[in-house]
Amino acid sequence: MATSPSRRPDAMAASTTPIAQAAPQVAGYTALRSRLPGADLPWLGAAREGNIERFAAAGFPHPRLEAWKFTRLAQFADKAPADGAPESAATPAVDIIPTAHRLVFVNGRFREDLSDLSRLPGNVAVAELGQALAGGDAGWLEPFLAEPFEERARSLAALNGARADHGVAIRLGAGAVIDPIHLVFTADAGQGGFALHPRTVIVAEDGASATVVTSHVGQGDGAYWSNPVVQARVGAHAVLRLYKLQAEGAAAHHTALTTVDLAGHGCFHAATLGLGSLLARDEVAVRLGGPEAECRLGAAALARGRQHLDATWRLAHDHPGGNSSQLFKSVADDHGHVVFQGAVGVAVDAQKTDAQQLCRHLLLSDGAAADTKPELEILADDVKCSHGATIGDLDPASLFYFQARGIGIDEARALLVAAHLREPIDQIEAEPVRQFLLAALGRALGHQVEEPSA
Amino acid sequence: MIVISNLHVLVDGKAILRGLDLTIRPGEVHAIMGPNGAGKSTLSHVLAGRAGYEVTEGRIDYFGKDLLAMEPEERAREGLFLAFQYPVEIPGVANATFLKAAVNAVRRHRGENELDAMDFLKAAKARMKALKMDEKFLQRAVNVGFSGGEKKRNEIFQMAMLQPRFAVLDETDSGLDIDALRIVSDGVNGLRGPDRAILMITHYQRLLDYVKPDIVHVLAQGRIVRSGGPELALELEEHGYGDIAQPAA
Repeated sequence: MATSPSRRPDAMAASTTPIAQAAPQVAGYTALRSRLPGADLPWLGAAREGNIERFAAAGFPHPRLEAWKFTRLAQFADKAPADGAPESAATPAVDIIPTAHRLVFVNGRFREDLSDLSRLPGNVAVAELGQALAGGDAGWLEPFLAEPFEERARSLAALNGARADHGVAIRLGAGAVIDPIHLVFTADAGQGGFALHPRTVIVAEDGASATVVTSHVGQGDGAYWSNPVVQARVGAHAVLRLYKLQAEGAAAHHTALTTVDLAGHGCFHAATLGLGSLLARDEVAVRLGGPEAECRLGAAALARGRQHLDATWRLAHDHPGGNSSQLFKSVADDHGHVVFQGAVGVAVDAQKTDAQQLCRHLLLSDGAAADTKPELEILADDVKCSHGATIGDLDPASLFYFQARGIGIDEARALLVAAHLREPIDQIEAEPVRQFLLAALGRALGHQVEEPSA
Repeated sequence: MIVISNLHVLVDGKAILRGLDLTIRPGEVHAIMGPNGAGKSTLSHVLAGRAGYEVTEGRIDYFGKDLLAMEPEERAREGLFLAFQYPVEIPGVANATFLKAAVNAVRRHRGENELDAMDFLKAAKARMKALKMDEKFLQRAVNVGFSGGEKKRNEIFQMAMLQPRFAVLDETDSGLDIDALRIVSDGVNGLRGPDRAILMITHYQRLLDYVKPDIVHVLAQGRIVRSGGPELALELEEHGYGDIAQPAA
């Protein structure tokens, strides 16, 4: 259901060809190739070459691809930065989760001085990507880093596959626990004109339990590009909780792909708070690759000014007894534009699947827009699948109730906006993570968002 | 003093109030009774300033101020409190957050210091105890998942926290069992005082057994058609609205 037409003109005509757009990116990769993490590993070199060829052939995604119908990159593709980020000596003021293990990157460089891995629990290996690849046992990373991103709609992931210029490798042995670990990707935007392609791999073996938080934070108004890829594999009876704060700089582009493969009885819980970037695309693809797996996706997005925020989720129920829920909440103000695409596939053998999806957009101004597109492809016959979508303004009866208690209209609106957006965050069980994201939401809204939640 | 003079109100183009006159002095408790459709809830909404009600004639003098010229939040800050017939559910906003914002909006208006979280909680818990409300209500979303009685009790709790000068209770007794009615009535009686005016809008006489009004009015066809002492409510209970609701010529 495309509920509101996008106001953006079709920019395809004005842009150059996909091959011409890809050329600077290929050149950027070629210039950096010998200095990338694991550059001496033959398998990785071959994988990078394969992925840059895929990207060169496909170019940037265009709106004729169904998955990119509402998010147009044509104008960005003409000027997308291809250079590596300049070194920044700055020690940025980074919001951290006090109790968390932590890896901090500034402009793609690992900053040991800002990181803390001194208290890692047993049977858990965490390293920045270069270090992980330099060790003797990098073999476990090969299936992830050598993944060929064949789909044309995932050409940006293929570019990350070639560049993978920094990142994190996390591996939990069977039954291991880490709670939480915070990966902080900071951009000192400066004059902009650079690209960051972080790559994170998370493996939780059978029965393991991990809470991972990623922050993508930009400081300054320079136009840079952040193109992260996260790949996770969750073993039988293992749990991965993956939370994300997207607070990139005001002129940044953020294009992210997260892929998760769940074994039987594996659990994946995710919540994302999208606040930053001029344009952000956050794609999450989860395969319930064993029986009785569970997936819970939540996200809140706040689009103001001329921000365009896109959440695209794809769930594949491939085995029986799977359980999934999706909750997307957004607020668009000014000329903000929010996109939600939620695809659920239920394979013919995936009987007794329970898949729920709910998407609620608030539009606070005449210039704001929202597109929402549920896609359900159900091949099994004994399943419970539902989806719902709403688009609307704040409820006048609620606003009057606030006013009737003396609360001014601006404060009432702010409280109702926070209430709308916090729901996916309130579902986070880990209290320090919840606090961290609520504080970020409060800063974005200019007032405190209080615990206790409701 | 609250003086309503010759109030005419249209809702969706239809005349609902047609020349209503009513004067309420501080220290008095008034009850307005009347059949369904007489305009009882319209009066409460117009007093609170809800949108969608068109005042075509008349005025409301509120302690020397023109009430109809004030925004709803200004009226509340000036001490007008409407206990809603149907309290609104606000998912995602904790009762404590909502009420603290309300209390502090009123305090700012009066030039008083805002309450911090500690002082607010202390005051709130004392009031809740008096109303036999569980402290957990503070953490719950405003009215979400509350029973009918809990919602009404929550209105009285808000009223007790805000200490209004003029409280309007719109069908506060509806949907209450006898225990809840007693607790709510205790809350209202606790608020009676020489500086406070109370207007109870009700369909039934039941509430008036617990909160004794000084003056009872009958509202019918958009006007006050009769006024009297508490005995008028009993008369209505006995004979119904049939005869009495015919406006005097």
